[in-house]
Amino acid sequence: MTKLGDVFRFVIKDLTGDGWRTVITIINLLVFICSYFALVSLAEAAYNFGNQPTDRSALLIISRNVFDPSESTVTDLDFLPAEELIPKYVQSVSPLVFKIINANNNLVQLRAARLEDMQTVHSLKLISGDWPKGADEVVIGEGTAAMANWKIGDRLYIYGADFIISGLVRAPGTKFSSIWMTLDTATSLFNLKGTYQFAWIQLQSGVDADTVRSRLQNDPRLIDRFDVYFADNLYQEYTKAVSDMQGVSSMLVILALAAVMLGTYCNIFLILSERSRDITILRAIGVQSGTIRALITFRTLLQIAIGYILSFFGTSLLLAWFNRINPLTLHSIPLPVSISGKALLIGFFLSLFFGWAGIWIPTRHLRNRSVASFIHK
Amino acid sequence: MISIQKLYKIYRRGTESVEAVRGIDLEIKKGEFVVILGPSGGGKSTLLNLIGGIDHPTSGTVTINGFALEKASEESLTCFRRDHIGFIFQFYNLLSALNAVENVCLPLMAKGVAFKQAGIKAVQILTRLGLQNRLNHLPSELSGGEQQRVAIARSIIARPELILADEPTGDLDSSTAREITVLMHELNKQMGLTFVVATHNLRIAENADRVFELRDGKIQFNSNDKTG
Repeated sequence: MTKLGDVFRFVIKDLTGDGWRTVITIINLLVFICSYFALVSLAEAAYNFGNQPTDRSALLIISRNVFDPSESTVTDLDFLPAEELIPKYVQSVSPLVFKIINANNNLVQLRAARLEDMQTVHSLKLISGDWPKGADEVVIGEGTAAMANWKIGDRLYIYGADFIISGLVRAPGTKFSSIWMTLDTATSLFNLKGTYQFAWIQLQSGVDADTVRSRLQNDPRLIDRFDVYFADNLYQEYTKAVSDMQGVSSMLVILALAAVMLGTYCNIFLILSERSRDITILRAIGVQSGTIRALITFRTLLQIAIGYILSFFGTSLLLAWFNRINPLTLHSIPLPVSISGKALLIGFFLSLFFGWAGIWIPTRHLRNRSVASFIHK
Repeated sequence: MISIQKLYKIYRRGTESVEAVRGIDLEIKKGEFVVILGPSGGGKSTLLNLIGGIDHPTSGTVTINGFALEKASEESLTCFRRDHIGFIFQFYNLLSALNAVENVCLPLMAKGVAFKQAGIKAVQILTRLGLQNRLNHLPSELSGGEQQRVAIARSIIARPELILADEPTGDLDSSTAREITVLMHELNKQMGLTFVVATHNLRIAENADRVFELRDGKIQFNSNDKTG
């Protein structure tokens, strides 16, 4: 059997000849490969969450040693060290209110900033609707809209008051998806009395951000009571405080790899045991062990490839559905789970490799095994 | 053609030893039709397996056309079977996913012949065996007799010198068994193939050149050599 076309013809005949068995084998493979996709995409989401690129154009002042950022308390007085650096190092210093609230039975972030800061300091872009004009209006980020399935015009019940969603905004870094309201509205709603959660420091472009951060961190007025973070570092730091996400994601990847390896190997081992009659016949009529291995390998890898493609589409659909109906959140930040191109490619080669290993290990002695040993098995 | 000397095959099952073949000496000439009779468990299949290089003897020698099977590696035994031996089994042992033509093609394809060329020859042989209307049928769509004809076609397509048949009529009704018996004798006469047939069927033995009875792993009865 030297022609590839002949090998392909016989393998296809063999697979279709026992269609149900082929289908069941592929379903078995699907279970393990889908597990790989699900675990790897979860691991990647966790890893990405803790490894967002740092925005070095803004700093945050936050109370030291608070478990939850919404427990931080910063007053106007605490803004002074940063305000003194205007205009040489700092563009502006703005108060930011941050709460984790329950709105219409969804645990979400609420941020309040001056209306004029929303676009200039926080880089919010209005996608549709309007900026909040009235005291009962809020805008929501895309992530929040997707997570809670909210739209413009919907009413939200927040902290004992009714609000209307007036617009949908896009914020840099989807992890900061929030409900946004004006500082005036928040002051009256939460009775803030000049206390906020963060001081948001917008740096001048071109300044050495690390030097400014270090200078503020070591300012005697802040040193013992406050921490200064890069804006996007905040959640990274808090995530580390809550759990070691890197460790979790590594563990998930190892689990995923083990699932695809063991699953593929076990399936192939089973297939091979079931094919001992056919192997005996082929050997008896003079087909060499190398040819038999090539046939089994080709047959198996074809099944794995089919299983892999089906698993990819199946898991993608499931994840899309899962993201829509019950999105994963961490600290009320949506954690989008999807299959990356890297995971797709690595998984494919791993599946083929472990499939090949699953054939190689049990067939490595085929060359030296007598035909009778298959008969007596 | 076949020379067997002091052939033993002992199977070990745990601490127990079973002597399936016990010191057989046998010479079979080219073109002979030899039948091995005997009860089940008497060692017939084991002897055929040893002659076909499917199993290894515990001791003794099996030489076919000067090729010593007991010394050969598995790979050279496979090549030897491919080039010199055809097998017919009781339960046909056709590959269930392949149709009649594809099953018959396999020994030629094992020799590196492309399916297209092998298929032409397979069709010729199947037609000769009366299966011209069953070429594309799967084994499950064929009767027992038809399946055995396909198996016979597979055994002769690569033009071996020796056919080893293990209970070739064991799973067939008497009329089909008779047809298969006639067919094997025809092939023996027309193509000069050497046949060694292990069977319970005395009808096969009727026109055989020599008949042996194998009981408890030993030859108990050896008929006269009709080939002289």
